[in-house]
Amino acid sequence: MDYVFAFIDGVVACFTANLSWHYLSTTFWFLIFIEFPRYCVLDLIVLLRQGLTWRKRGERAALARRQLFAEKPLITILVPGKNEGLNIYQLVKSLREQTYHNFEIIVVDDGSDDATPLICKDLVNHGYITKYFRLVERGGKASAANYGAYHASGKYIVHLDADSSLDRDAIEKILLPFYIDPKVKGVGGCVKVRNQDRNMCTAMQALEYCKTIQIGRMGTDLLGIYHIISGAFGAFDAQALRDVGYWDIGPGLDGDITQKLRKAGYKVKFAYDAICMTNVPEKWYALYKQRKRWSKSLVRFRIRKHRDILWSDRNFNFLNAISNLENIAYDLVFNYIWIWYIIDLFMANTDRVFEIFVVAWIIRLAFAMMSFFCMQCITERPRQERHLGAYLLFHTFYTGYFLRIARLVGHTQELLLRTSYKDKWNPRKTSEVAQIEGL
Amino acid sequence: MTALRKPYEIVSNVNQRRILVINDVVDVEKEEDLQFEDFDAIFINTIDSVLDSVMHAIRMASPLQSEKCRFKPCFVTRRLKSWIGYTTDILVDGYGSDPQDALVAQTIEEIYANMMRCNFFLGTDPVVTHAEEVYRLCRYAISRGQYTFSSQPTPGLNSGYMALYFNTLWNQEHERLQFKEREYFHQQLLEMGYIRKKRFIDKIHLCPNCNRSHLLFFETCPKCGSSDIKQEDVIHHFRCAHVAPESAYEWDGELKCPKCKHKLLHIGVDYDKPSAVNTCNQCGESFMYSNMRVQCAVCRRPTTPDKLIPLDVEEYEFTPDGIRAFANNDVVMTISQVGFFGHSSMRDFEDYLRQAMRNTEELEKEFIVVMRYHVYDPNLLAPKFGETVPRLVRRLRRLYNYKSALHGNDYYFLCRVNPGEVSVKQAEMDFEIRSEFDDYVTRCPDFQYDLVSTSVLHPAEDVETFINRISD
Repeated sequence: MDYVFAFIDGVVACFTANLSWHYLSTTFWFLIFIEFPRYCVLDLIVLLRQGLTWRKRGERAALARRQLFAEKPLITILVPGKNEGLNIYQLVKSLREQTYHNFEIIVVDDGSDDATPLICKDLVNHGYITKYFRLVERGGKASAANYGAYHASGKYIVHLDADSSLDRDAIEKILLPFYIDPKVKGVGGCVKVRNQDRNMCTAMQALEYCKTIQIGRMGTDLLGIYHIISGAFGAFDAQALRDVGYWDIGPGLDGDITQKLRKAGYKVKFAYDAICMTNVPEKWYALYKQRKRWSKSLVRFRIRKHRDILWSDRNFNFLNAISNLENIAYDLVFNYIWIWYIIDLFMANTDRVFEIFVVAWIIRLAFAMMSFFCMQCITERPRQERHLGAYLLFHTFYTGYFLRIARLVGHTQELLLRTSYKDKWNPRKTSEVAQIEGL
Repeated sequence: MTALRKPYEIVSNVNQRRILVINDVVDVEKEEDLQFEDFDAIFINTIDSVLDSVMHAIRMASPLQSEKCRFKPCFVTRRLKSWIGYTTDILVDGYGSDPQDALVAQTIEEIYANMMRCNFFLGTDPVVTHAEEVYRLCRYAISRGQYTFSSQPTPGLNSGYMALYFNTLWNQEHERLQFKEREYFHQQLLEMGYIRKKRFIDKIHLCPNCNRSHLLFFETCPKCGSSDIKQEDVIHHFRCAHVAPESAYEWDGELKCPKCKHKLLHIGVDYDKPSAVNTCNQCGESFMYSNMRVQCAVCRRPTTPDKLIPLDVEEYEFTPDGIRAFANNDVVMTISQVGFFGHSSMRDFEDYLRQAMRNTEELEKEFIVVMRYHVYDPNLLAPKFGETVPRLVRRLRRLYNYKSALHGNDYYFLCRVNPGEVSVKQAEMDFEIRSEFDDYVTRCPDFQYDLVSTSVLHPAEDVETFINRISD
């Protein structure tokens, strides 16, 4: 019991006798100077901007909507996937509910070995799917998406994951940026978690998606450095997509295609109100593996394949360089700095490590609550997401430690061993060629 | 200079069998000098450059269709074998170089020996009803020692199977026996124990409109329905994940990726072909699975495979009881003739309506039209001696596609019609029947007729009320 009281005294002491600006900035510099501006201040700026510009944005959206419905172009909804038969029906059902109706649905089956072909053929016969193509030999997601795009006849191509479903106005909303600014050739939709109430793992991801995808990407979009059109829900101008050669071998197709569009001189935007729901991993280990894969793609594409974006790209653009740099810095470089920071913190405060970590947790919690407040102000479904606030208590452990460690492992493996080429996400035949060619 | 050949002549063979040699198209029935007892076999020696003339000659002297030739062995000159081929193989007992051919003589003896063995009764009444025609068909098969309803695909038959019924053909697709009559007949024979199922042959599919199996299948474009489609392989280029039909990669005789411009050299190393795609040459649509369109070659109505009527084709064989009953011609008395078209008794006619009414689902797809004519025929009042079937009825035998009954001075005709075609069919039916009556007037000037009523049987109507209505 004495120890508990001593611990509380220590924590209180941190906030009273020892708490000064100098102390804070030297002890928690990583939180205050690296994480706070990026993840908290930016959220507040986003919220402020939303408040100040809502009328103007509303008018522009209304005008764009009128133009969209006056032109009513054919949209191709492209759904590549493997063994997704059971999810496809839910997806096409949500597509039938859309406010925008002029679309064709192309499903490309990337070598499924379950009942997907039967289900899809049945859906074609009943008019739920416009076209269904099957690649008997699995070629990877990029090849399936490319094959579908080859057969697309729409003016815009909306790429969807088969296990996702859309809000009723999602297609309409994701198309509006094309009509607001004709230079926009790619628009990312906002992905949220459908199975958020399944367990703590999915709830934490739901909270993370709301923060990093909805608010976070609004921030990068505001700064003009939006760099990832989500593979689960993204829209592209078909001609621009053709010009950049569609998708290349993954993993990380979504980030790669966004970089390609930016390098080609096109604008990309984020439609925060075009909502797509998707299922996320329900087990911590599956989540760990998923994040490791995502992290590998950062190294493979942003550092290796698209490193020229930083200085030698023929369409060099300062914002493009910054967008890549920001991603590399926050997702990779600062992770390694964080290790050094933790070790330093530990070594400098060996007598009160535990108290220091509790204080850090409290500071982080305060930041997270600020962000959550922004989320609640911006989100289209605040009531349904309010209960996620309870998980803010665990937010530090999830984003600060769990995800960071997964990313660190992924980056290190890829930097040292190039393990993404051995990832089963891609078939071996394509990975081998990609490795030989250095792609 | 060669002497002109007679249209027909009778010659004797080594066994002293008299053979009717037919050198021209001869209507044996109308030749008054020729009687049933005058010859034992027929030899068709009609050489004509027109195939139809030869076929006509064979049909006129058919042991099934001609009363004077009934059940007698029939042969055709070998000169015609390769020319008329398969059709005649079924219709006749064989080929010979001349009437005195030893093989012909031997076959004649075998046929008569077989008839003797099964105590075959040669004398029958003239065939008027469809039932009688089918009975004769069975009797003919038994007389030739064919105790199995052979079920091989048979060209010309509406349902495509069962050579037994080939003799009910006059021309291709001109089968007098309707599909439903066949089914009815098989059912009757099975119930009586005259035949039994020998083996399952095949499941075939019939046109839902006309029940014929002569169907054309087209692979079509799901968008425009055209069958002008081509299939090509799809190439997946590993290097850049580009996937497109092979034609997109073709470049100066080589394969070159349209995306990354690299040459494709080695399948399995640079690229593979994971799929194939169909492209419509008419509308440009690309698709994985083509649709299937079916068109009936006879009624020409298009349909889809799921609407075709499945039918199990079975092979039957006569039981000893069946062989005995047919050989002795007892079946006329034992098998119901209700389900057959052609001429029937008034009772059968009414029972047919009652039977049809039981299957209302069928009646919703097809209506029944009944036309009633009042006729005055002096021959009906004073029939010739030995005339079991009225002359008028025999004259109207051609109308095998209608079920008919003569009741007193009322002549009833019935046919099944698709909904939407009732008025057209009614007019067609009236025209045909009147034409036949008019022909009969040329032979019997006192004959008079008049259309009394036309009635359509609807599924909702009470059949007894309907029968009362048409008989009033």
